[in-house]
Amino acid sequence: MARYVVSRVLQAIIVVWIVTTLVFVLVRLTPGDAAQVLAGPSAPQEEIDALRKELGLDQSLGSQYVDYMSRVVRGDFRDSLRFHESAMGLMLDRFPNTLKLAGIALVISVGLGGLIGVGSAIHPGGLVDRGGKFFAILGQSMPTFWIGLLGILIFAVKLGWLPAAGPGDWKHYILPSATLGWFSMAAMVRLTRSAMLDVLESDSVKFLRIKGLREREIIFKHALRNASIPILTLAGLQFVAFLSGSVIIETIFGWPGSGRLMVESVTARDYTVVQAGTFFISIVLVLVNLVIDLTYGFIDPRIRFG
Amino acid sequence: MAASPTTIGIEGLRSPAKRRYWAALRGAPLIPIAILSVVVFCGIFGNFIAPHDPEAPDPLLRLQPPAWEADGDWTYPLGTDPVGRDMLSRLIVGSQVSLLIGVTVVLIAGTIGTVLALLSGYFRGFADAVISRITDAFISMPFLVIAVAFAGIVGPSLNHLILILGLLSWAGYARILRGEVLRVCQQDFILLAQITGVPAWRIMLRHVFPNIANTLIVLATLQLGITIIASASLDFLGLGIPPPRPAWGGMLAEGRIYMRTAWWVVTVPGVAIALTVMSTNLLGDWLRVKLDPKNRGM
Repeated sequence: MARYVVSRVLQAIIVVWIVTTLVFVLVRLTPGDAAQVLAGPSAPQEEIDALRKELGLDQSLGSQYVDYMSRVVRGDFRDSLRFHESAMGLMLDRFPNTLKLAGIALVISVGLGGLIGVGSAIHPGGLVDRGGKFFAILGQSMPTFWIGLLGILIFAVKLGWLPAAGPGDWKHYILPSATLGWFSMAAMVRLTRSAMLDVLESDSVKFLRIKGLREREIIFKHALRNASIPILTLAGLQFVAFLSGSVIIETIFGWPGSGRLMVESVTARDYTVVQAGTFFISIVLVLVNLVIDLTYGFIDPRIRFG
Repeated sequence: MAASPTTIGIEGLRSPAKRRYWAALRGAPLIPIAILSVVVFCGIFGNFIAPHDPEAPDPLLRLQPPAWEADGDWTYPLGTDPVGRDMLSRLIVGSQVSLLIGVTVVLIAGTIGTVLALLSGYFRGFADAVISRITDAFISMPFLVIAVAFAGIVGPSLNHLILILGLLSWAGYARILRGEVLRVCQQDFILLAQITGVPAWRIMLRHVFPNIANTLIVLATLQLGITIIASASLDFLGLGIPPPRPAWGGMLAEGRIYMRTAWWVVTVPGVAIALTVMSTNLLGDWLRVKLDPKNRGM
């Protein structure tokens, strides 16, 4: 087990290191002078020179990288070029909003997707199975931003049931989180279905049936528990995907989360915030992945000792 | 008397090649193939079949509804966009960009992924460790967030979009194909080739690659849909194809604020994306079952 944990943690550190290096390379990729780009197209020469000095761009690439990494370790990405506040602080302020949306989307995806998956597995080829499959393929083929736009068009513009955008009471959460959840629900339905089918055909379930247990008890108490390991893994992966997908969803629904801050900062050429955001979201993602891997190893002895 | 295996083998050899060719297509998803053929046709000949100039605005014809609506007109079957350009023409020509990006990105990512998978699966050891770690890192990165950051910094353009998506999406190929390469390399014919002194690059190219090509084709087909959605997402955020060149994601973004009065500006391009992606998904699913050696002869 210790070996497994150490190798996973090492892996996570390597991922974070590669991402931070990519973020470093990011600004050096800018066509032309980085300081010029950062200062903006209309900045006077003195300001560009001052910025170049401040960012250490006049030094060698190696010492720039060392300086950058030492700041990253402390979580310091300099101040936002737009707001003149800590770039990382801005990200952290907005993150709870993203987290709430992703959490609700996860409940929708796992809850509803799991239920449809179980229903499909009980009667393969039945109404729930075929309906669920169609629903799933539909959700997987439509870009999330289009589902979002259609949702606004139907439920906010035509029917007037739900608010179109912005934060607020519980009604404001429905459209964005449902949009975010639908795409992932497809995978959840498929996985739950196949995992449940495997378990339901196993000898242990046959034994429970012979024993005379009620079907409902067999399905929800025994089969679902055995099928839960892959489902939990996928749930974790989906949560991670929601954080990345928030970039689009928050832009459509005017949601004040970290994804929208990223897009706004990219458009406003506020690169310190872009760097902080890329780094922060990657860190969260790596941590979630790490937790999944560790729980997976904890639940499944084959991985722990393998 | 039951037929012996030998007679079956001879029968199999005698069956005409032509019939086997058609048998391979049996059960192919016809509707998805038809939809994809239309998209490919539009992508190649779009400039010749578009009824109007897709990039010429006409302020007098802003937001004309589609033909079947009350104020519709068959001159503009799918209506016009917020600056008075024909939706149908933009849709037809817009497929060019989706197709171009989809195919080139899949080629770039597929090539990188295949080469890395061959290297790490064939040589194993240190090379494998390094390549696998990098692959894992790329798989667990927030794809869209990094794509947005890159596109924003290097500036939106077709070439940049292709490079960004290509360089960020190879990891899936590398991971899955590596497993396949490992499996193939355990077989005797690889060992025999090594003993005979065939150079490593030749073994990889002539003996390993053909055995992983099926998986590669399935992956590439499924990845095509994901790439089209990703590029449309970047278009939608204004980080993809610069206007006025028509692209499906960009059309959605342009129509977004007019959604309340003109439903078609956000519906039409979305339907095009959804149909295309759904077709690639269904085709990929079919290929996966079809090309799986376990299902051969079924």
